[in-house]
Amino acid sequence: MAGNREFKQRPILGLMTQSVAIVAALFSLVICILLMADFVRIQKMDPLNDPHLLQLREQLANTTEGSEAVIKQIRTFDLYARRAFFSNQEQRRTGGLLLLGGMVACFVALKLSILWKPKLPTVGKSDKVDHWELNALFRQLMAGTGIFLVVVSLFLAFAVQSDLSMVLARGDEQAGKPAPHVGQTFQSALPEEMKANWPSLRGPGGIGVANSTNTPMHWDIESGDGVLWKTEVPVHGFNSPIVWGNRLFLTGGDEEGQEVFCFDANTGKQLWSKTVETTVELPEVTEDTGYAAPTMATDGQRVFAIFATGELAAFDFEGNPVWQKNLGVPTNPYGMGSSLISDGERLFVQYDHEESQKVIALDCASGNPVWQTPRKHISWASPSLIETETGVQLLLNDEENVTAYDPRSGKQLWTVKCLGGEVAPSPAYNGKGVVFVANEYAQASALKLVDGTPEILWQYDEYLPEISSPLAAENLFFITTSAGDVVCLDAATGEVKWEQEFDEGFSSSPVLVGDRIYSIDLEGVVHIFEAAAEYKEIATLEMGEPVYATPAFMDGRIYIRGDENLYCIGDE
Amino acid sequence: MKPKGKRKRRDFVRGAAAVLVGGVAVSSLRSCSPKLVWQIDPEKCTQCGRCATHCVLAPSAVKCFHSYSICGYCDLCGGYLRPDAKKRNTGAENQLCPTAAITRTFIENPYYQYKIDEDLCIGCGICVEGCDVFGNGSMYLQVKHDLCVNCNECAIAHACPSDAFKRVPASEPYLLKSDREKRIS
Amino acid sequence: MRGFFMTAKAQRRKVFRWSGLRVFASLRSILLLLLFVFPARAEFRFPMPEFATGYEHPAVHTPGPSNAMVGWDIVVLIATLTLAAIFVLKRRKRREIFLLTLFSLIYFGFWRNGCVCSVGSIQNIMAGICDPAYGVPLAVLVFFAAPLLFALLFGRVFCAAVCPLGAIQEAVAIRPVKVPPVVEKVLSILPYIYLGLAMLSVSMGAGFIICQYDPFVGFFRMGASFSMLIFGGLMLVLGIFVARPYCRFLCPYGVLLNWCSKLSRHHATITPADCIQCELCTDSCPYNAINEPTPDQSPETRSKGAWRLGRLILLVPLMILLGVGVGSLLKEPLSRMHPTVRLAERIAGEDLGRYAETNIESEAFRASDTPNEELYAEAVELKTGFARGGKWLGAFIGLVIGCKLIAVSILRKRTDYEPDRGTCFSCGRCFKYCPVKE
Repeated sequence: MAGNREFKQRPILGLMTQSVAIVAALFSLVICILLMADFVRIQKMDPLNDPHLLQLREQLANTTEGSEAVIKQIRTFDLYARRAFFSNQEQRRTGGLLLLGGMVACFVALKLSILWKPKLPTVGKSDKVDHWELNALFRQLMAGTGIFLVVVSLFLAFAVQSDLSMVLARGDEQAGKPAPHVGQTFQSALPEEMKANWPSLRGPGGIGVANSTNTPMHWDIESGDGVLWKTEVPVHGFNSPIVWGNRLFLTGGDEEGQEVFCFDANTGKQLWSKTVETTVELPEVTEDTGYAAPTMATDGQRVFAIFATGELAAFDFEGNPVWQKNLGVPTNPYGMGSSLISDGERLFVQYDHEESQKVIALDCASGNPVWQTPRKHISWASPSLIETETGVQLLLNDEENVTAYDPRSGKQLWTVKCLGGEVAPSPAYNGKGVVFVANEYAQASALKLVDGTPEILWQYDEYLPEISSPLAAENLFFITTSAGDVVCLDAATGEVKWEQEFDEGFSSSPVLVGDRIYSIDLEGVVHIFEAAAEYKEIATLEMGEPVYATPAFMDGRIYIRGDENLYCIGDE
Repeated sequence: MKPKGKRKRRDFVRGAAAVLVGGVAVSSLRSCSPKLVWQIDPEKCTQCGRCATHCVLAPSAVKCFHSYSICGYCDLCGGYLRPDAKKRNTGAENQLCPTAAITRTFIENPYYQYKIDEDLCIGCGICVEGCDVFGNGSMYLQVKHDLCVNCNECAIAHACPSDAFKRVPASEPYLLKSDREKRIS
Repeated sequence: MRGFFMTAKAQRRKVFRWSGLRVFASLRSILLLLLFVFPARAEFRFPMPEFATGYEHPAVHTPGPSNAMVGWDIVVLIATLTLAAIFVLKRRKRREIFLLTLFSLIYFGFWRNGCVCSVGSIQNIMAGICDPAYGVPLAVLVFFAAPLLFALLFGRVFCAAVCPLGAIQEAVAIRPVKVPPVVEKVLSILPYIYLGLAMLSVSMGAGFIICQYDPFVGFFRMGASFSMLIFGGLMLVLGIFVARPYCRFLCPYGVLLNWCSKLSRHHATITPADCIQCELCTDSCPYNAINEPTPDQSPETRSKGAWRLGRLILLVPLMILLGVGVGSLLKEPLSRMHPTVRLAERIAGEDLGRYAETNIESEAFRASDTPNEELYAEAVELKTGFARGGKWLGAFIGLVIGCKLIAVSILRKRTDYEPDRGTCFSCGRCFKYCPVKE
């Protein structure tokens, strides 16, 4: 019979191939285990973040020039890490090929052994099952499977919950509610009282415009002519003074503690100081920012201060604590830089950090959150409150956008993508519907608000500010850069009216007082010039110490915070 | 032997099935397309680092490309030097690339050329972010098509958080930034 | 090593920021210097230098994809299909079929890296039907249609000797044991579910899940994710004892081949001439694909069987309805297949404060400036689509279960041992067991 040839037995060959198969299988198994062990080992390895290497890198970073020994160690480490990485890749490739080879050998041998020791066909299985019974069993099992599928589906349907529908439902609920301030959706203007004082960084609304016009134009620090008083700042800080009535507030901070100071604006006498205690671990800060970079704000009854720890405290004018809370330690390359601002009812905190970016409005009296809106980019800029035709808008700069919010609801009103780089300058506003923003590595943009929504009028990208905020007069815009350049641009066209180069850069922001501009450079030289289409110097005066902060302007007086001293310029 | 009627019916159903298969195939071919391959849109890429880890190949078929025509040839290169580098030289302590796949060559004062060694590059995109943040963005990631096995469902595309992978015609398989520059100007 | 570069990146970000000021300071001086010399372009921070030394930009090396193979793939596919049909129907030699299988394994698998494959091609075809903008290349079309047309003519010869996925399993099937036929039949519902899910996923643009969960392509390419390799390895080990586990219990393309093969013009027969009822072949098939002759006498009356059949036929619409009902409940879990829906849920969850940290996807989204509302709207629309798709999926599975129940309840007279046209892979094992040779 022909079949005989097909089922021919070759027992010896069969046995041999069987042993080959076993050897190959064992070999493959060993390779497989080695590969898996290697995989697990590699998963745990992290040579780039090896504590030793990190420590070396830190050592290197802390020395100015870098020590040769540390450099050498890093190089050795780096070489080992790279060699290990590439030799491992090579190993894996070889291991994979060996495994494949072993498995092929094993299966070939097994196939051959079966070919040479074939199983003979058998006839008439004893356990022949009944066709009909099988079909009945199948129907039952199939029904069971169907029920199983239904149960699994139901379980899945109820186990998987949707956060999205919750968020959407919440949104609908809010949309369904009547607006909290029916009839007047937007706040029309800032309180008059605020405009008469200096309630926040860069004055009322935080746009660098003073309401008084009679501030001094000449004084002499050395002789003391025109200097009303001078007092030492107790604790260092980069924040600017704020003034309400006859009280001046500022903060200072170092590793020892963060404090709020209140001075008598008429005499310079320190009225009180309060330490803002914190329970959080002090974050690392850079020298350029320190623990007390944000400027305080006041609503006319309370003052608010925030520090690098995220600790936000409110005091009344007598120094009694009103409330205090920690907003979470800000994590952010240069530390907490955004200053506070208040519209009299609410306190606004721009909290754009790496972990989360948001703008928060707190009730001034209680500190309870009124609203909170998530944002998308980090920044060091401070908020501004501008009065537009359609009401007050809260303006925030970040690494990409300038965005406006409704101060009452936190609803985003508009956003324009026109910034870039690491943004510290805040927005400017000319009071006539044109917002002016600028940052180094991006450009300066003039945004005209038509019915409360912006359109870009023009852009300019030559001299741009890095820290100091731009300033908008009615028809002219001004930029002071960190390199010491001052530029004047036409508000309507963006045409450069004049450029002026000074010896030192600016960190303090320029302030418009009547028809003149005060701008103080990093060496403490006060440049006073006309806010006009042609550069005209009014005075150049020396403070005798570096000035980082933006001065406060009140009726007939200027308050300047130098690196060490606080000055009040003005007559009796 | 089957009855004739049954056979005829079967022939009819078979013909219908053949027409169906053909129809389905042709209807999907309405816009008969050239061969498509995967590529990264450099404008969308966020340099998350998954190209280095999610490719079915090891090392990944994604490599860093350098468009020299838009490079500033800076001495202080954000793609080459660690931001905390003390000196601008080729020392390992100053280099950003974990596999030292970038070679820095002096061209003329003050310009340096940066060249990617594709055998060493693992497509991690660390240099790309450096170049984007502090440079012209002349370094960017691309799928290298002599390496890519062109999976039907690209494993990196599936893992890409910024939807930067797309299919492009095989005749123009790269999205070069230098080309984009040409198109704009 | 996966963690290796991810953490490096996180750390690097920090480094960048911390030292930002210093870098800025030095950058600024360079920038200002350059600004005076060249007009700055808004797009680039640094102007492109003009070289005095006559230096020219090196060319960017852009090797194209190898295109030449595609034509060959089609030729080899048609050739192997034809050869397989000849081997199965004319030459009837298991060894020849097996050698062809090994060739396909090496060519389509290891040489061509398992892509294009017919199993995956159904997704491209579906994508082409759903989205006219999605182009289906000719090669994919041929890989989809040719095996089906061959199945209509000659049975599943594609499975026998052409498909690389089948080939690798055929190669490792050393000691196959028989799966109880009932279990086999019940498990054969899985490919339908897989097919349904895959088609839903493609039609919603949620990705090609058949390719994502392809167990063997990792071996062909010598590289894949760890989980994929483990899944493939387990499939191979299982495949030593349960022959072709993927083909029988998962392969979605097998569903279509099964349908086509049922109608095949010529199908492999166990015996080249008349069956002598020796029963030798029954032991040879590891796939439960040989149907035994039906018993002459039915234990139940004809009317009882007819009643049951009638009831089952009436039951089918009910099962479809049940499927639709259950499917419509599956909107949430099914929609999670789509990356956009997952992202929207993640963003929503983060905004609800459900997660302690952001993940890489949500960070990329938040950096992109797309408003959340846009993402949410898109996700809601997708969910509506998935709700609709879930109903179709449920109806499909209900229909399949119903049809399977009906199929076993119809009595088909069989006098000989015959391969089951649907499930037979035409592997040819039974040929050599048949004593009738001419």
